[in-house]
Amino acid sequence: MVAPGETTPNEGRNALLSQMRRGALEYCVLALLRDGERYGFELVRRLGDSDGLLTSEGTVYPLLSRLRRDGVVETTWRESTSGPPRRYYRLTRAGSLALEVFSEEWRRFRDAVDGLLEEER
Amino acid sequence: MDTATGIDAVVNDYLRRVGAALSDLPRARSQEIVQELGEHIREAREDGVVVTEADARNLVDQLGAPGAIADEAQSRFGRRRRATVGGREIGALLLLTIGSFAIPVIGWAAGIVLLWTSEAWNRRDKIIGTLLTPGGAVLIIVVVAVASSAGASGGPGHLALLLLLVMPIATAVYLLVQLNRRAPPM
Repeated sequence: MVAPGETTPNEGRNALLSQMRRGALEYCVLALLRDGERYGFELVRRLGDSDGLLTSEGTVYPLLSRLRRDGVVETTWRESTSGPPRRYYRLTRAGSLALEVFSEEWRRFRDAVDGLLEEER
Repeated sequence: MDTATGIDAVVNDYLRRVGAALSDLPRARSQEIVQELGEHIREAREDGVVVTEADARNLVDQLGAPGAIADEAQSRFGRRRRATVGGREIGALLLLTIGSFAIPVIGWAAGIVLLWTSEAWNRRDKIIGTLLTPGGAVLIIVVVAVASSAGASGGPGHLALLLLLVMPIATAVYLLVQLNRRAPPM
């Protein structure tokens, strides 16, 4: 039995996964902007296409807002062929650097966890 | 209702609900998020992804519940906003209470400026803080006193005085609680 206020192993695992997803998401956004700027709908669709990354596409916008305030992403308006101008998101220098650092750390972390998980099998 | 009007209705209703869910955030922040969600939907229409009203409903479902977006915004901005709890907030609380009596009018006005420029309180808190501290309170009490002296005799003067003393303190306590609720564990 689980006392009130305690989390079941299942809840704990879900919480961990959602924390990991949230933490990684901002770097996925930065990674998508690495090769050039994108407008909001395009960016969000690409994230949504990656399985298991996003539950609600709309949650990317609060994140983008914070990334912009942190100075890792900036926006600029560009003319569009199919309507009014669009806001494009792109990486700043600080953003590229943050992405580089994270990629490095992520590889180490992934390899370490993978190494142990494989060993346990 | 033609298709475009139907789509507009779905979109506007959704954006309005998101805006309401985000009301706890600083206004500039919530407006920015709602605006960019609106741009997202507009781009989907221009890209031909949303043609029918059903498409619009699907898009809005994919964007997610307003509450989910608000939760995300709250957690993405929570830390930053908490970091702003400091001199400005303490100054606002002191000026709105003791300051209003020590330096009449100017002390209160300075407190109001600090209150409204702080990101630690939401709009509702700021309105409450403005109306229920001296200055704002004087106005309310004058109205109450005038209204009640027209009817029941005796007491309005004492009641007004009591309110003038109690309300700022109660308001300061309320603002402090709100601040504490959002403050980081030290």
